[in-house]
Amino acid sequence: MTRMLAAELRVVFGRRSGQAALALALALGVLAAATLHILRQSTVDAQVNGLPVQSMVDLSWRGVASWGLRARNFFALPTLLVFATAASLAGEIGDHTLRELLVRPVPRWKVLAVRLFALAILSAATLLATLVPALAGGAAIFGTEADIGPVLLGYLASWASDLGLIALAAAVAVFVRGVAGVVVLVVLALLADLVARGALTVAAGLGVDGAETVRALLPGSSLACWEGWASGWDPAAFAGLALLLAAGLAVAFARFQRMDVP
Amino acid sequence: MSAALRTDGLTRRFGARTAVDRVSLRVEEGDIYGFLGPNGAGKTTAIRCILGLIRRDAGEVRIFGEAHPVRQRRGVGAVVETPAFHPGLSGRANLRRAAAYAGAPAEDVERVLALTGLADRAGDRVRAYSLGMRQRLGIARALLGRPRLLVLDEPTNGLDPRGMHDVRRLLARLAAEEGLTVFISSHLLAEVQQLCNRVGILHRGRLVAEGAVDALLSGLGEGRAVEVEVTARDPERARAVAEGLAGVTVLPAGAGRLRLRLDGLDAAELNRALVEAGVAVSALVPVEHSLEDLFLRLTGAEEAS
Ligand SMILES: Nc1ncnc2c1ncn2[C@@H]1O[C@H](COP(=O)(O)OP(=O)(O)OP(=O)(O)O)[C@@H](O)[C@H]1O
Ligand SMILES: [Mg+2]
Repeated sequence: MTRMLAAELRVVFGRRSGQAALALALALGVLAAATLHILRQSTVDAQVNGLPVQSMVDLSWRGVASWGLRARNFFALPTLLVFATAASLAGEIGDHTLRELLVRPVPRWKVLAVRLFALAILSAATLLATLVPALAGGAAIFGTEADIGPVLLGYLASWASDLGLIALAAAVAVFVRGVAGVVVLVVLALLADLVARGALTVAAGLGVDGAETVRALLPGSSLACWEGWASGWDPAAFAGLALLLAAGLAVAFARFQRMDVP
Repeated sequence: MSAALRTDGLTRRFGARTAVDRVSLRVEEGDIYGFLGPNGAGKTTAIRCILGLIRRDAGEVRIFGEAHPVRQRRGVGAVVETPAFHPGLSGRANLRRAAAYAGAPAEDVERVLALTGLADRAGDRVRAYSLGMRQRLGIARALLGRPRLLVLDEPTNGLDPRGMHDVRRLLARLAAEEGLTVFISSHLLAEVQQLCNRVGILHRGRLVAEGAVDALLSGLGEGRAVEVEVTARDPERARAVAEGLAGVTVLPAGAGRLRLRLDGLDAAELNRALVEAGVAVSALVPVEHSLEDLFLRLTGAEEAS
């Protein structure tokens, strides 16, 4: 099992999607530190809603880490993780490299588990790739006064949210042929989710019973659970995430066990 | 003793088409078994079913007596169609990955690279390999973990004559020295005849013949009839004379060739009759049946009907 995992890690980190994700995560961490450094130095008094920009941004060690996290979790990196998951399943089924492993006396659930584990490690690595330069740069610029604990929990929650996303992508990737198809479908599903949540917010505003609860349980809310480090943790988001994770994994494992891998 | 590989009623359908139709075959330990059939006969589909890569609609597969869907692949190495690799990784790295799944020690990688003559190119990315090198790397990968049964789907596809020869020799050697059983699909009949001791012939998803090569071929020369090929200075005249002889049937043959079935007349008598009629006979050779004859007869039969 550990040898299989080592072999899978080499492949996941060796792929373009894996390398792009790591490079981007690192760049965002550095960028967060650099941006806040420039903001502090800047004498321009740009104003937003009548307040100086500087007052809106937490110019501290913690601020760098939190902006790094926000940038890291904004669209591009999650999309790359979906790419990596799709390449690992739909991609390897399509180019037959997965078949070459399945002719061995290894149960399919193990083959899938090892792959998902490697992807979870990729996700953790990208979080660290943002966090480490953000913390180092932030400390160098602002010193280590501010309390960093809550942001670190935000990073941890981001990892949990990535696991949900990987499970969702895996569930799609055992049905759809082609990496691009999987990515498009997952993005479309999340857009539909966004629309649904918008509608539910309106419904809740109109006093529809339960609309708020359903909204909180939808994948989009769950995948944003990490935002709780600043705005207060939402148990419903985590319940929704657990639901997403369980459903995604159940579908992926059930289908992979039976599907043709020619 | 249980068979190395045995299928009972193996069936796989794709929609309305039955690609593999109630195939029951048996490969004994130590066999080099040729799995023959024209394009689209269902060879690859059957192999995928045997290896558990695709679902089977009916039937059972036992490998060394084991029916468990995962455990039965212990001691099996396989190449299905064109072997797939990670093009960006070296040949060696690809094999290391496979070794991890095969439970084979890392040193085994060097052994199989040496066996297949790839040791000096193993550090190159597979992207840069020729078709024949990939095919050999596929065989190398199948040999990881010292399998007792090797399942090969057209393994010499894309190899030059030298490469084909080397693969045949390697398989024959492994069979002789390590008691390896080989199940090999092919439509290169001469190759199969040189290498295999037993064959199964698949046609439109059905196993239409199975047995030892010798036994199947001797079954072709029906009864007492003997087939001869006649070379004469004037083949047209020879044909005309032969047609007039009792106990001689002219068989279809290529242009300028004369093939006869003799029933109740021997070759010496035929020769004398031809010479007496003024035909100069330069050769009169009994026909050796080849696997090709058998193959064409069995897989052509239904086309005619
Ligand atoms: N995934 C699939 N979907 C539909 N039909 C399929 C599929 N795979 C194979 N077939 C059909 O099953 C039949 C057998 O195909 P198969 O590839 O097993 O033949 P084969 O004997 O290996 O041929 P070849 O010598 O050309 O490799 C063919 O008619 C083919 O079209
Ligand atoms: Mg085939």
